[in-house]
Amino acid sequence: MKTLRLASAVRGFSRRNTRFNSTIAVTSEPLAPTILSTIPPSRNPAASAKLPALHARLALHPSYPIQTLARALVDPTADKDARFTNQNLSTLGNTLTGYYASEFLLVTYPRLPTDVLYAAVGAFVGNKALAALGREWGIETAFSPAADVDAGLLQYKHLKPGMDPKLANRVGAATQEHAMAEAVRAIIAGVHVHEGQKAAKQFIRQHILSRKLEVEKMFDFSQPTRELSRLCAREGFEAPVARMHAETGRRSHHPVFVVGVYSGKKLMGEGHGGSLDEARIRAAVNALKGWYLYSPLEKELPSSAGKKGFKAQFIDVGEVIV
Amino acid sequence: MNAFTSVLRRTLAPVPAVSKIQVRNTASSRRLTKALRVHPHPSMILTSASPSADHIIYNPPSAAPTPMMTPEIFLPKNDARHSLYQAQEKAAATLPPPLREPYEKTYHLTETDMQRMRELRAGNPAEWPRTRLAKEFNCSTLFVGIVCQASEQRISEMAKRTEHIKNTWGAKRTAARAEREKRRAGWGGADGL
Repeated sequence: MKTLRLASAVRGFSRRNTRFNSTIAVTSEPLAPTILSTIPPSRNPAASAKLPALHARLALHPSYPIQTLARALVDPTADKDARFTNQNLSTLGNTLTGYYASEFLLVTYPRLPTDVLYAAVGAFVGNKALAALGREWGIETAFSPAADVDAGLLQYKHLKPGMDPKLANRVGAATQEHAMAEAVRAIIAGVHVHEGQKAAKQFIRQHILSRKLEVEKMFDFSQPTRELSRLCAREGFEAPVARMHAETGRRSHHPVFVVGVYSGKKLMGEGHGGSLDEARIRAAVNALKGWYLYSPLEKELPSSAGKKGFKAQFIDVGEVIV
Repeated sequence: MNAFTSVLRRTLAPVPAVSKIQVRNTASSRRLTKALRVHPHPSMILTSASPSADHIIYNPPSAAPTPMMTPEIFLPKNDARHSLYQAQEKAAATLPPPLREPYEKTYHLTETDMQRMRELRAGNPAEWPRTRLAKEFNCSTLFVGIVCQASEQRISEMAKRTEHIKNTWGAKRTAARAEREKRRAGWGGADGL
């Protein structure tokens, strides 16, 4: 439903533009105060050289109109009329990027704890990541959303320096990071609207999901040894025992201990540290990471499932509650 | 040269002149070079047992194991990697020594014991701290903490005492303790190691 409404909104936008171009010159009736006799450069995609350049840089399909690209660069803080801003497009883009990122993460690491999953999705498609992506694409920002700025610039009303970004919505302004991320989301939504679902998925995979995310560094366990004990009890493994793999300089200023944590005869994880406690705790942390970062060999995404329907390769019982 | 040094010099026996005769030790540049030469890993040397066709030598540099490789015990039953682990399993190796002797939990304390523990702690918290209770009832201090907590008043008193002790620390010790706490906070994975 959302897609349909959005598509009609985009069509409405272009129709309105063509009316500007063709009929205003010949009309004899007095113009309504809201209608301008000429389109200002900030709303005239044809007057910008930046838009075709961005279109070419992103290798967008010719069916992706320059008008949508121009609209994606207008933040709601720059224009009150939602028909001229990226508001709807960025909402769709947010849904799409969030869906594809979480689907990818859930299928790749089905045991990921919820907190880490949210952090990982945020790291892929959060404001910070998408704003960085927008800068890499070469999107530049206008100093202020005036009528004479180039339509190829990101137009938004900048939050005054020193103001709390949480108050941005209330004062009708946005930070550069937020505006840039929303523009990137809107551009991605444009791919979905004009080129289709497959193209949007490929675009997201190539631009966002192809980035290296170190999920193994996103963990922070408060009670790792206790959590590992709970895990072993839950899964029916023998209780964990820390065993010394190697050590050097025990009586020196800089000892190093390498400790492995075992369940019965099976090694679960290994850690090293400057004290026995550190090595033991790090071993438990690595064992827990080994559990949570399990990745099945065959990964089928729900969005790629054919007519036969999606069948999960692996269903996890959930994270360990301590 | 002060008086002490000159007296010392006169009393010590004269140092014999350095011998000019060359003595051959086992060390020579050729032998040293040979000793320091890093020999190739056995897996790199082609022997008669090596495969005759093209093959891959798998000899990664030693490094800490990565958590991205799931240990066998954590693999689901239907995972194909079980066979890989079983193929490389070594023959009945003895386990490394444990850090402390593994023990069985005894669960020997009864409800009356716990009630007595609570009474002792509530009656005279200064006499009966966790460690003494743990020794008395032959359990861990953690278990004592689960069974009974010190009163609010006692906790605030002890906090005040700790605060007083911390105030006597100098700048170096304060900084060192703060550093230690920061390092400790990273062990759970926050330091990214």
